[in-house]
Amino acid sequence: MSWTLYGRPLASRFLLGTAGYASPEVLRQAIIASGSQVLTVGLRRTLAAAGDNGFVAALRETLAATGGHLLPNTAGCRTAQEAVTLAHMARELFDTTWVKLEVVGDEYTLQPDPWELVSAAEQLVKAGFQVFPYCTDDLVTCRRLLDAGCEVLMPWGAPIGSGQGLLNPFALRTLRERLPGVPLIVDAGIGAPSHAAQAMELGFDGVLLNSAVAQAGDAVRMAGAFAQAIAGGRLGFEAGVMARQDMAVASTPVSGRPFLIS
Amino acid sequence: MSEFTINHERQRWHAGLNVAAVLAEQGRAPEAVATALNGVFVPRGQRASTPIRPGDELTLIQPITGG
Repeated sequence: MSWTLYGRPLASRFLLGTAGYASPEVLRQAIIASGSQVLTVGLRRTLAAAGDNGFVAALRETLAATGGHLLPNTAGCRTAQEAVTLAHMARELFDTTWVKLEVVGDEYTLQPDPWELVSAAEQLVKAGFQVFPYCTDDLVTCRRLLDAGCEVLMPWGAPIGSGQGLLNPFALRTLRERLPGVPLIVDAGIGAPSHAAQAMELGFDGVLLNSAVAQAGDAVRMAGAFAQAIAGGRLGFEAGVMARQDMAVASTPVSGRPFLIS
Repeated sequence: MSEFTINHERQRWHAGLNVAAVLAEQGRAPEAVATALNGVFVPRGQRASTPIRPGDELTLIQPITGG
């Protein structure tokens, strides 16, 4: 079940966001319940010397205990230049060359801007970053990102935070078939464990989500539920899901009719 | 009066200011923030040699949770 992202071996295929939890302790417990070894983090402008109520400290401590990795994002960026600058700041603050590259082109859907995304990816790869681009499910854009030097792709399942699940399974299935061997992670739009299982059954290598756990009635139990769904979906993919058929095919072998009435 | 801004908030400028000096005046631990001047990243090791001029925009960024 182990796999690698930019050469780092991972046992879990569940990447977890760290925003919006009720408390640092709930975040800590959710991380442990998830089994996740990759946690996303962010950056923001600040003036006050005040901290963040201990959330970042909690996740750093938890990661130190679990041996996981931080994946800083460039959320809020609208241009390649903004994202490149923020990525350099993230590399210094979090001491990692990994970056989840987000360059949004539409305020309403938070859809990634493919042109700015590819431009930023090219610049960051040249600067030594290992880029995880948050992208749409467009095959050609994904190919351009690979050409830019990205070794991982993170297409959306649905708009960020919407919880709608996989809106376009055909496009995601096409990505899987056309990009064999490329680590593919569904990022954004997952709402329920069944959505995550579906992504894994399609052959995706991992799932990244945040709101579905943070906004659950019980975030810690939901983190565990997603962990099981993701592992189960992957196992199902590896086992080989049966082919669909339009008509019924009896599973019980019979010869003729068991009862003859009249 | 000459001014510069920190995260879009006006600050009084004086001669001899650099990025490291501003952080010290603000009471910010150097390793707690990342810095950019006029949208260009300023690495930690270059803060003391990066002067701030009137009209400059200094951006201070701190880690937070994120998705």
